Amino acid sequence: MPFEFDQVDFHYEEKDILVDLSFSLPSNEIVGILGPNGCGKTTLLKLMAGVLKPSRGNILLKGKALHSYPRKSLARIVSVLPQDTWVDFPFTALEVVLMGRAPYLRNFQWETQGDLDIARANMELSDCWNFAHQDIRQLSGGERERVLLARALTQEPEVLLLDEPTTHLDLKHQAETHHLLEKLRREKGLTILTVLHDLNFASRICQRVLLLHDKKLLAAGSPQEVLQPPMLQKLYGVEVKVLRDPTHGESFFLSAF
Amino acid sequence: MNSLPTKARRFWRVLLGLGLVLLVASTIALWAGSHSLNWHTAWTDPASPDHDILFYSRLPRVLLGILVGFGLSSGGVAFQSLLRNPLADPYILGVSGGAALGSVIAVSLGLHFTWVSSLAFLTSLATLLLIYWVAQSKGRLPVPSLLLTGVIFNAFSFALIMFVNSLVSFEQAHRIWYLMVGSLEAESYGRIAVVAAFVLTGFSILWLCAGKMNLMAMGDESASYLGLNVEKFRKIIFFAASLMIGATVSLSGLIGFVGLFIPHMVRLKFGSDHRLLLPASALFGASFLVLADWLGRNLMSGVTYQTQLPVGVITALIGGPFFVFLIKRPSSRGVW
Repeated sequence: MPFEFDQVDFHYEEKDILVDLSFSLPSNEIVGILGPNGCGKTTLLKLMAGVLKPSRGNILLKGKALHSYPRKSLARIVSVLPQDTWVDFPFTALEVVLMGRAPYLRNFQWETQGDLDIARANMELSDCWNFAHQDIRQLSGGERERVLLARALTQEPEVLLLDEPTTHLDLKHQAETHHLLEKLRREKGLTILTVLHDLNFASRICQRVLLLHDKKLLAAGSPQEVLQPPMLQKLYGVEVKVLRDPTHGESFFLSAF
Repeated sequence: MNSLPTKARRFWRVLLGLGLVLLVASTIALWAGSHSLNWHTAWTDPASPDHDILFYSRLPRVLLGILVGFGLSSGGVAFQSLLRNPLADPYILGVSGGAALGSVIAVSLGLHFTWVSSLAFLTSLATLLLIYWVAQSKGRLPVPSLLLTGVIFNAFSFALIMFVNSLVSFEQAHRIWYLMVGSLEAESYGRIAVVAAFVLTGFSILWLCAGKMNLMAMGDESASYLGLNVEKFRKIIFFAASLMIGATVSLSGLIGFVGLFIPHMVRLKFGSDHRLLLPASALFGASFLVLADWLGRNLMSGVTYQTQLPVGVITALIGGPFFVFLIKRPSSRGVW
């Protein structure tokens, strides 16, 4: 049970962002966090990453209060692919990925060959090893996203938090990310939480989805149970049609506009 | 080529190379000049003019140049990591101005030099904190507001300095003038030692956590995700950077652009890893300033007999156009 939320509120400057969240997530699942813009999805991710503290309530990570973890040990359990992937300094892609080893290194310790091997394996996984020595600022948004995903994996976490991982990716890399996440869950036993907008993507890869609406948890459950037209109408305020592929039984979501 | 032990070896190779460059630069600055020095006489005969020139004119200046170049360049690196901007500069952002104000006040009060440096440290720390506070909005440091805040602080500090300047004796005013243009006037070894203590303390603190500066350069959010306690570490950089900038300015005054273009050139050549960037910038900056000062001393000596260009003039003459080049070069995505 990696994450347990118990009546968690979060306020920012007197404003409620999230109210009364209670849920627990089993490990080794891919969990999608869905909801309209500004519903607090990113805030939820930041609470889980421990960079924001709840205004009320408790968050447990592996049965222990999240805030009781020192930052460095937390970074060995939870890693994040942020939404904003811009880097200001001319680091090479490989240097950026190697920073994922920081939680394991002492002050002024050089990375070892072992660290490099880990970084390289993850860069190959997320398909960015071929530009390992390029200046990260020269890369496209999608390429940067893959580099930062490799960095998050290089932290060798148990929980991976992703904030809209496919936004900047082309169709091929979206499909590859899809397979990669599934592979990470299956082979490395990762628990993956990801903020998503794409219902089709969510219904394919997630074992569970959390729907956030108006600062609250609207529903949680498997995509088949939860992603139904009335619920989606309530979530996004637009009509969503669900078509079913007769041969494979897969659902396709179309917004009617 | 990708094995990392190679990276550690390269690290020592680069530092050794830059150390040699510094040695050569210092030797040139000690040896060449309007008076050609006889090393043997200078060393063996304490009554000779060669001895005086070497030990009371050139050597202190070279040591001063090394120290100031070292402090400004590594201070610049610290600034850039702190402000998440590869082209942040203590001079442009008004922190050197704050340090100069502190020095000027201490000089006009006739305080001992240790207090001049200490006050400069405190005023540069105060200015840095203020600029950070003023320019920040919603956890970000937008460049336009950072620049604008720097301009305002510079103007304000200069106004106060001019005000103090109008109240002091002629001798103190002369000292203040030198602080304003930035020069490496021959200083006593005692003063050099005081500043060396400040600069080396700041530098050691930063170098020990150079890996953390790498994380810091990724931005606050990413740095936290990578396990850095950002708030705590930011305080450490604030402290160390002010220590270096404050002490350096109290000795040499306002020498601009060194903290900007030395780290920038080192980054282009050797990359952004702060474990190497910090010491390499410090060594390269030291060589640069020693040579710039030597140039200032000798450039005009053929033309008139008493003119020496203060080193601040040389660095600004080189640094200004360099900065324009950085902004306008075709590959730049806007420097800031």
